[in-house]
Amino acid sequence: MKRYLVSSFIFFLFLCGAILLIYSRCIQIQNDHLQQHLFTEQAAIRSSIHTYSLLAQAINDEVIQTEQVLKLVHDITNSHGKEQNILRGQLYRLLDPVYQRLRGKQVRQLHFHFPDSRSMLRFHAPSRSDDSLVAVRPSVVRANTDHEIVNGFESGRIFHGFRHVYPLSYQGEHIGSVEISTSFYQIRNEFKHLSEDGLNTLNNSNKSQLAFLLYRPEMWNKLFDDLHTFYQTTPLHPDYIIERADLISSLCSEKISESPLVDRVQQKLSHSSEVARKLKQHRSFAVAVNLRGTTYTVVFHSVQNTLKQHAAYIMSVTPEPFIATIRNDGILMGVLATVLLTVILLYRFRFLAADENEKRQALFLSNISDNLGTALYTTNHEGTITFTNTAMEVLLGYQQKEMLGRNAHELFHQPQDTDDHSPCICEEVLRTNTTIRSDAYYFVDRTGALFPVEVVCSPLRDHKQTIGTATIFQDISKRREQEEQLQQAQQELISANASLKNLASHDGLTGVYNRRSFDEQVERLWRSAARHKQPLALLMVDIDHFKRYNDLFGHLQGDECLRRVAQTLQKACKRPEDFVARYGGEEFAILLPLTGHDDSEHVAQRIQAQIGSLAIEHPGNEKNQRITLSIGCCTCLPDGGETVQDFIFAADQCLYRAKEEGRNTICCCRLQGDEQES
Amino acid sequence: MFRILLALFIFLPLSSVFAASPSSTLRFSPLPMLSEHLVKEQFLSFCSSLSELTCQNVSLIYKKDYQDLLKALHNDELDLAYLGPLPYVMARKTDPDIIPVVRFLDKHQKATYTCSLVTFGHNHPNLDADYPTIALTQPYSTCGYLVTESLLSPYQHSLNDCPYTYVGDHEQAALAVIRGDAALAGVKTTIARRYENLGLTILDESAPLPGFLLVANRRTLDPATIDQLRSDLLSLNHAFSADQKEKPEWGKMIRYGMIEAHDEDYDAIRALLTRFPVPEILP
Repeated sequence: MKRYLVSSFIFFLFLCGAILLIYSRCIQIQNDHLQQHLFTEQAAIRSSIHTYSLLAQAINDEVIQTEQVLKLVHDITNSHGKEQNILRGQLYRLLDPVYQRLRGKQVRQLHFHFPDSRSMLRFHAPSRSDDSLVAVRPSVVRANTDHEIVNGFESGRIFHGFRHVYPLSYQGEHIGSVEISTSFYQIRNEFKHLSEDGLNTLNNSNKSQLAFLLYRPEMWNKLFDDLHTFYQTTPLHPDYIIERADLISSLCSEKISESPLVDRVQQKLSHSSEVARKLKQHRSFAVAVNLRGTTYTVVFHSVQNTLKQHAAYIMSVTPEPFIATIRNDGILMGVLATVLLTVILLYRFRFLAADENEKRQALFLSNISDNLGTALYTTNHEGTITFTNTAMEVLLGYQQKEMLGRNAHELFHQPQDTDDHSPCICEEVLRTNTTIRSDAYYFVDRTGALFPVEVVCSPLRDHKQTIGTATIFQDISKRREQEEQLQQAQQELISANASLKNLASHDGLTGVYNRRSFDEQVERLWRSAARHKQPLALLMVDIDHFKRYNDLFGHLQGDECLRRVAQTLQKACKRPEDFVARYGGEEFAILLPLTGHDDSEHVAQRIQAQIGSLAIEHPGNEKNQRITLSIGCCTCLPDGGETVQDFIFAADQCLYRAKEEGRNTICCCRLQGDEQES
Repeated sequence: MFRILLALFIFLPLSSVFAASPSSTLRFSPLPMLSEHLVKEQFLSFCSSLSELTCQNVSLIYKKDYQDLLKALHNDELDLAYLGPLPYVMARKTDPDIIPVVRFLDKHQKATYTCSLVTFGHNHPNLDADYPTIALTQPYSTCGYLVTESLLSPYQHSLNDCPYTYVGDHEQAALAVIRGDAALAGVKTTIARRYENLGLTILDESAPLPGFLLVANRRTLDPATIDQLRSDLLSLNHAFSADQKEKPEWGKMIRYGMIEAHDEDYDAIRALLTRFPVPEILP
């Protein structure tokens, strides 16, 4: 969650930065454009003012500077009372037709002044005269004191305009001054002509609409009191007022159309602190304003009076599609930046989700690996450990940070036969690119103790490329110990089994096969001989007068005697396949496979000879005083006509005959069909 | 149910507001001596005062010319009007239900004014062998044909013989003389004095004439209301600024106070009109 918040915060920062950048860029372009617009309009206004300055100069030269006018002004100046009034009326009568024509030429005021700067005759307000203009009209004072032409804007008691004041003299005598003024509205009209001709072609826009904002502190106190009602405060700022159209129309019959657009723009800008601030600075500036979906350039041209003080603003409002385009482009760029950053954020979220999933999986795998109970580690191509689990730390006694980055082989691998030159199992896996399983390795723990491990080392693949190895191993010391114990137990069991088997098949006293083994063996050898058409011999051996021997020497001695006889019989039968068994009591049976009649007789003789060589004293054998044997020998080539019982019976009969014949005797026969050959 | 409660919630307060407001609207129109905007500015505050006094809404109606205004009065489209002396006499002549309420004082607290016959400089009509051209304000202006004709009579001139022209207002009439467009003009004396600085000379001045007045239409307003209105307006005199003796928010023509107006105050006008009927406004 924290990473999501951080990402969102960074996204927000970037978004804010991008929007700020775009916004500042748009504002910069817009300001440059507004500045250019401002300069262009200022040039147009200066040109308009200059045009009227030339017109005023021409009027002064052609109309005022005539003998008739100058003389009349001179007479007015030098007369008094009613005479002066009549002369003034004559001046009015003389120039009113001219003034009416000049009104058609956009001249607003024609105003004569006395040398002491009192009003002599206002053609625009002829009933008002003789008032001193000293306090309100510096331009008039200058013209009458310095006798110089003064041009510039100046407010007045009735009208405010761009003044052109010319000093008048008649026959070398200063007789006052005359003022030819144009109002803002004439400048506006001229400006409009210029705009239509070139300015707006440059700006690629429609006609400008202008308003004249008078700076109240500069002009309010100059006004005749009864004219205050003809002014209204602009919504823009309380310090700025405008002349109402009916003032102009009622006093000088100029038809001034009010501009609802300018009013709406003023209303809109009245909420702008930036405009209010700049208006207070009295400098020219331009702003853009959006009104009902249309963008306008609003330029405020600062107008200074003849004393170089701020006196008014000419406000122009011009539709400005270029700024709208800039704004639209800015909005578009902002939207694109937002979309782009949002896409990046979404990708970041996806990445975080995937990363978290990966971490969860890693944690899951780590938990699994840590709880495996089996040590796990991975190496890179160089055999450097890149991952270990907890079990490995437990087994080896190292902490994970001690192992990571170290070579596994050098750290804890121990070659199989403690041969340092044996290859590392990891290297083997990387070389063969196959999994190696072994329990023949030994690892060394932190203390240097060696312990056997069962290890499975597999190649670690990233896609199709082998990037290292993954090895799991576990300590098999206990298992190995258990295996050894088990092996030992197994050996003992085998030994016990062998002993039991021996006990089951051998006679406990003599160590030769017992009667049960004999029964099994005789059946088997019988069938083999019958199958392979090979001869089989059976020797039935009985110790002569053995009962007497027991009686004489006791059973222990008797047993010893039996053991020695059995050993002798075993020795006498030299072939491995020869089978010696204790048939019962002091009677033994010997099976001789692949042995014919003669050979079996020869074995019997050898047995007797070896027994004889033992020279076991037997006083009960009255004839020989030693232990002797009676042997019945039967040979047979089984062909299906006789049975194994017949075979045993025949051998037993031979033994019986040998005993009958005085003991220590060998009696042999051949069993063949129903016949028995001795 | 909720909608009914909502409607009641909205309707009840509104109904109480309407109940407290004036029950009808008084229709007032001043003489159109200035542009519509200036006329409305001059009389808007006066209308507010009327509304407060009568507890009724007062609608300020602008009529473009004198005849329209008189016709509206006659047709009961107006309840109150601000009239000049001659228009009042003309209206009263044909409609006796138009009754005077109050007369307005001028800056010098006078309820009368005079008209003057003016010329330029030292000119004198008697010295002019030809019939002088005469500039008049307009037919319904008291200082126009009516008084000018009366002032010309001592000079053995008559407007019936002299060429005259209506130039619109007093100022233009005065300027016409100064410019030399006319030899004589009949203008309000105060205007004539204003142009003395240009050599305008007053040849003769009329006797004081009753000034502008507020009239009421008795057909649309009951006498008690008119009497109450008169009384209330006159009581306002005491409320005027003590030092300036004016009500600054009212227009210049009406701000200096009022006196009770009587129809007989205008008998002098009627007499003049009988002697010198104005051809342009003959019934």
